[in-house]
Amino acid sequence: MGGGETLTREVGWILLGIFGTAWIFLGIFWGRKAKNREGFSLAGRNVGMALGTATAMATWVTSNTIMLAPLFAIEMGVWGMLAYSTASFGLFLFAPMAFRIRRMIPKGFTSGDFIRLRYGKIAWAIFLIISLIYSMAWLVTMAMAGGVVLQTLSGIDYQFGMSVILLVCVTYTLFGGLYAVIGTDFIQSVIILAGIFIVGAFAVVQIDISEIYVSVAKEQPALLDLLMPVALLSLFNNLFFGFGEIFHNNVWWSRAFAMRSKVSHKAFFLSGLLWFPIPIAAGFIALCAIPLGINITDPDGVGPLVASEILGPVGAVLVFIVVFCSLASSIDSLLAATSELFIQDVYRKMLRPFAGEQELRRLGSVVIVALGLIAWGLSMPRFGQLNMVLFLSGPLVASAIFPVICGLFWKRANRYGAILAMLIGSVVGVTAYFLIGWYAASLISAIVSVATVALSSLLFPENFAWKTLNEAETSPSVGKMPKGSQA
Amino acid sequence: MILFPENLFSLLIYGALIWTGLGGLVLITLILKDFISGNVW
Repeated sequence: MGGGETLTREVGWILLGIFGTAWIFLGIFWGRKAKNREGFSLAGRNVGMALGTATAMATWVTSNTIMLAPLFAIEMGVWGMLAYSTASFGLFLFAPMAFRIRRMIPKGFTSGDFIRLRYGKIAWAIFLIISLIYSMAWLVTMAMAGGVVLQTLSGIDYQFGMSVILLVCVTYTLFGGLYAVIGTDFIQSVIILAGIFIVGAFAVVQIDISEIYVSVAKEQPALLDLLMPVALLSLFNNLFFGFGEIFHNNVWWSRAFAMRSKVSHKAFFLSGLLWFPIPIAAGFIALCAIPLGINITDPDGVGPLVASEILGPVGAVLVFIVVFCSLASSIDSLLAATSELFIQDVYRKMLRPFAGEQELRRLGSVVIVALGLIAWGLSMPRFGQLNMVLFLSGPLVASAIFPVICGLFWKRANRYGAILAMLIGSVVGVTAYFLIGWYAASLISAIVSVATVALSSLLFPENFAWKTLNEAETSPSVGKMPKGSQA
Repeated sequence: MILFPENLFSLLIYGALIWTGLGGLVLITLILKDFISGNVW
């Protein structure tokens, strides 16, 4: 061992081996249920309440949650933790959207399907660019976080740890599709919740909450400030970032399509309830660094560092497992949902409308591997703080919030307004990111976006026919080829 | 500077921990319920 890690490299590799093998085995096992394209891509559209809740929650508990919540706590105190928790509101508000999605687009595959049918091809192209940029940014930050945490906890080289995590996730997603993703998500959810609870419980047993409070109030009182301006601004920023991420991303749309119509809205609401306390429970660990006098040299790794300092090897093992689960549960979902976006929206809708089942399955495998390789290549040079990479994509997705909401619930929402909202919101939001800071970028982007959609739709209202959304496979579809075409 | 009251701080941390632990139990209960009724997948 060297540096601050409390696990040996050997233990780290053993844990990686055990859990990596388990996920691959389970992925292949559940993947056998996928008999056709709907099975592989959407788990047969028949996922129940328990698996639905767990997969929505686990996907949203990213490695960023485990790594950044402590960073938020140590930089912005109590409001920082609460700000991170507001990301759960996206899950709450997606619940009625999931209900509507299942009703209006019963045969949909992706969020891109909705944008294309609702706003046309220009909006669709812009939306796909935003969605793909964000998904890759998310994938890269998680792969980077994986490498960082393995190095912090066990001294496994950043490049090796990051590579193994990606390899495991690519392998089981490749074999099992969404069945594998959702099945493993359930086990990962239970492990994440139990692990965070156990680490937190150990911490409060060892260091009294009063002791933490007194120490923070004495050493860094700003962290307990009721009116910390940056933290309060970050709260609203995070709220809109969360809305943007969830409302637009195919990761959640694919789950809405995969769940039974009667449980989708309930599952999303419950997943939000289960998610809400996690950033607080994971974040407060970082505040223990102050009474313990731990010197924070690497802000990205503050959570695992403090947990292993407080709890020793057992705590380090627990944090290691929790982070590995949170990484896997999000990376697999992103691989599955983003590859589906490529296959359905780019390949099938733009290039090969009459592609057959086998061709789409083969292509799905290629895209999953390609996404893994791209993420690996971008993650190899470890750059910047994790939150900078993540929040740079915030204003882009925030610009899509209101085009999506208005498109689903307001028939007067205008397609040109949606296009302008995404373009202007993104440009202004990214500008705000550099001129003001990450804590304001998503908020400003969302405000510009809603103003654009609302104004244009009120001035030039569209009278959208909702039945248009139920494409019902009347357009070129899998297995229904015109004579003379090739599968 | 107005600080968070200590009791509110304690409530936040303890509440979050208990809530997190209960979340795990809720998931296990739900999967058992779905398993019994044949509604897992």
